[in-house]
Amino acid sequence: MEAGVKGKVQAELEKIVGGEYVSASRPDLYSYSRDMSEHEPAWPDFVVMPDGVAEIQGVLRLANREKIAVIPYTAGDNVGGLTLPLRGGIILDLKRMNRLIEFNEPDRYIVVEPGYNFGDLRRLLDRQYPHLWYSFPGAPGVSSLMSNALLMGFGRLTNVIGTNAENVNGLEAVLPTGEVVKIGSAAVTSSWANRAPLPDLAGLFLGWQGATGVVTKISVQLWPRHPFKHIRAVLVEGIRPACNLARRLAQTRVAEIIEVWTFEDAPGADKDKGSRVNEGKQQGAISMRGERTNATYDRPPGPDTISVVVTLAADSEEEMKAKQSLLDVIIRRELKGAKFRELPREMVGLIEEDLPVTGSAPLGGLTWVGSMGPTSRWAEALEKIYPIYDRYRLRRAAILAPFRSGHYGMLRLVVQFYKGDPDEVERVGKCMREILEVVLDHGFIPYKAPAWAVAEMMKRSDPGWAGLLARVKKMLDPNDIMNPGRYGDTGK
Amino acid sequence: MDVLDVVREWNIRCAQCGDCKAFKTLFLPSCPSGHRFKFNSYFATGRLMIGRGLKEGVLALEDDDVIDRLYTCTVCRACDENCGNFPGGHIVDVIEGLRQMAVSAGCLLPAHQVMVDSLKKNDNVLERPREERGDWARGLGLKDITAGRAEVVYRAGCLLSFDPEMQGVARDAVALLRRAGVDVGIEGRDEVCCGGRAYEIGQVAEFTKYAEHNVEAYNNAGVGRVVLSCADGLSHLKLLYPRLDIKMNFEVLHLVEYLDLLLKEGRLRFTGEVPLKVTYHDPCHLGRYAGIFEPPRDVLRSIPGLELVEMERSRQFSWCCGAGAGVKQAYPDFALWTARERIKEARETGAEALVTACPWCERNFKDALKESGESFGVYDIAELALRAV
Repeated sequence: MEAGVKGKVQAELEKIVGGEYVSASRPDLYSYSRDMSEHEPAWPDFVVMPDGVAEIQGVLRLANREKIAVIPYTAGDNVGGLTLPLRGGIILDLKRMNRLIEFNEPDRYIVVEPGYNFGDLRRLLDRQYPHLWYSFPGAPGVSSLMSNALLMGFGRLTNVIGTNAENVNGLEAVLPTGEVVKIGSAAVTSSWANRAPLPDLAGLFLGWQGATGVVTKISVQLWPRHPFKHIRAVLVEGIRPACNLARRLAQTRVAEIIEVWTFEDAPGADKDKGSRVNEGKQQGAISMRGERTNATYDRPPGPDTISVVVTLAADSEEEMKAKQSLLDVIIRRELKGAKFRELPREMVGLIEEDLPVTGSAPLGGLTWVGSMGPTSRWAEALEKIYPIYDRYRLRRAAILAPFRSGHYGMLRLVVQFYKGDPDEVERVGKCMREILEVVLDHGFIPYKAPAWAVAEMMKRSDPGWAGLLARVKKMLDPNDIMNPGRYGDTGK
Repeated sequence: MDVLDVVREWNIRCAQCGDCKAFKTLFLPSCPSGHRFKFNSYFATGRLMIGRGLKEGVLALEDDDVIDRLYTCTVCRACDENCGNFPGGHIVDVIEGLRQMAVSAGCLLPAHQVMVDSLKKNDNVLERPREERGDWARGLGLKDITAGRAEVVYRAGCLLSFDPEMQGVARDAVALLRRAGVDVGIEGRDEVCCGGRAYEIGQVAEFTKYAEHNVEAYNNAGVGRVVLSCADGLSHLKLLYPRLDIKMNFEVLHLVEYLDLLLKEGRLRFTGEVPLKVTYHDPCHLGRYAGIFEPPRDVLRSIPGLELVEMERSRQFSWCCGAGAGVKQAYPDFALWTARERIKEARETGAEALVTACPWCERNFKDALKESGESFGVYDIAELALRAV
């Protein structure tokens, strides 16, 4: 940005949000130029921290007039490079907007601002509403609840409710041109309880990665927290029996969450510090912690040990016993002829601490091709993906989870890497691109997809769908200022 | 490996996950500067990125705000407590390494230059004449260890030696030791700064000078124990001095550890009632640094009539007072803001007073109350303990 223009824009931004909350200083800009993924750094021109809808309207009107890119930002820990300012512009850091607007206990929903995070909600539920729960993901406590929902993220009730976008009752957003809109029942009534049966305009914001506006409030559903909980983990040899077991369990709806972890053990991985969750995963041969050995990792021969982790929840001992019996029956039936063993109880106990998840990227780098698609093709896709990991000498690592009784499911291919080795970073990037091809070939769609993955999908997409997407984007964001490089970007 | 190589290694291993921003399991803010100023560069993860930028040459120490971001950290180690990626706690080491680089490059904050000049001239960081160092003990008839032997030396440190409002803490401390029959002496006007504050602002040469001097002085005096009321001093003597690889022939104890020991051995007894509801603030250097969490609480619980209630952020999850690592001198408003946050939390417990075990914390809390015109009790443990004997 030309210096004269930059000075003028900065002065206007300071007028809108106050000088204390606008920065163009190099250390501030640099600290927003990278994330944990392998993506190239990209510097913003400004970091701006608004507090309130009116300030966001002011910033967007200015940006729209001057055609400056705006990137909505909460915690920046999305693993997809989604808040890297690919064309510079304004990072709109929303962490000051962290209010709980409404807690509706009878109708079990909350309305929150973008900076309200999982830690805030977990703390509130634990202390004041222990009978209620949310579909918390395995994310740090500082991650934004709203961003996870808008990005159609995963949570630990997915077998019941699907992605956290399916948990959204409504929202309020500021359009790139400055108008404020409400979506869902709040658009018509004083209640934020539901989206149906209005025409569902939530799709103008859900899944768009901040490319259509800045969401300022969101209403999400809360779920019962059952007093009885039981986690069981089975270590299965081979991909197919493990996938079949998870799919079968999903269909019965016996479990709140079923996760399939295909992490290889990381012998000698650092055990000095880190959460008990990681410790448990580590000792149970299901670790996602690794050493600085990816660069030279050669996989030993032999079958993969896959962990199928099932969480049961019940309102009474009788209900729990019944669920455990059913689980026993399904495990015995589905794993007939397969080799498997139970993860010892003391290890399972360590997995029970859902949040926060710490130390999940001890090498400093974490990236993935996260995707959702048909669970019937999990095993087939993994059998094609594993040789790719091996070829790039990276550890095989995947997390699978059925959503909504297994009607679809998550296939997340994860790589931890050491960011200090340029060769390793390059190999990780190439590996992810090859994996994306396989994922798409098998009917899976990447979520929290980085810009390069979106571009790849657009090449394959139905022209009618792509055209409609472009028209919607153009209608909402005529000057293409919102989070460039994402869905509907014209590349200008 | 030079400082920058160490810094680079750790910077690269920061995943920018944000765990450093809040206390795990409590989900409450942990980083004073991040919570106050909000931009990423004020959190540990941002500071590590700045280190990476310096190493890679995309940032320079002379860039606007780089020095500010490095020095608004109180080195409270809350980030190290939360980080799951850096085994053993290395974030603060990196930040201190970056400060050493800044000093080598001549980038010094004016307020810190004043401290360094004061050290060079007066052997204290408070710009007070060297000859006033032992005045706090005038009339107490304490042994002078430079002239004779004592089993224990009580080290007052800079703040308790020179701050008239705080000197009572040192007098209470030695009074307690004498009540327990401890053979205690002091260095009087020959005592010098521990050098810890110099280390924290990147002045390693100054630190080394004082560390070598102090170790030699205590070794030569033949003391068995050095006892301090200052949590910063305790952690510098106990944790930093050994890094210099000089043999220390004495044990270093904080007063609260020693009082706890004396109580448990029956050498000290609390009999007087102190009817007060208090909450205890863990000084970062005593708690997170030195791992001393229970002795101060045990001492407080031993005082008849005193009720101890806990703040939610306590022990290893304690919120910093805001005074540390040169922040009080260079960023006084931010230091007071941090203290006010803590006082607010203390009030929420229903306590009538905040008790601590570090003069820097106490000074900052008192200054925050003075500035806001509020009234709330702030005590050193020694003061309450002495009321009970």
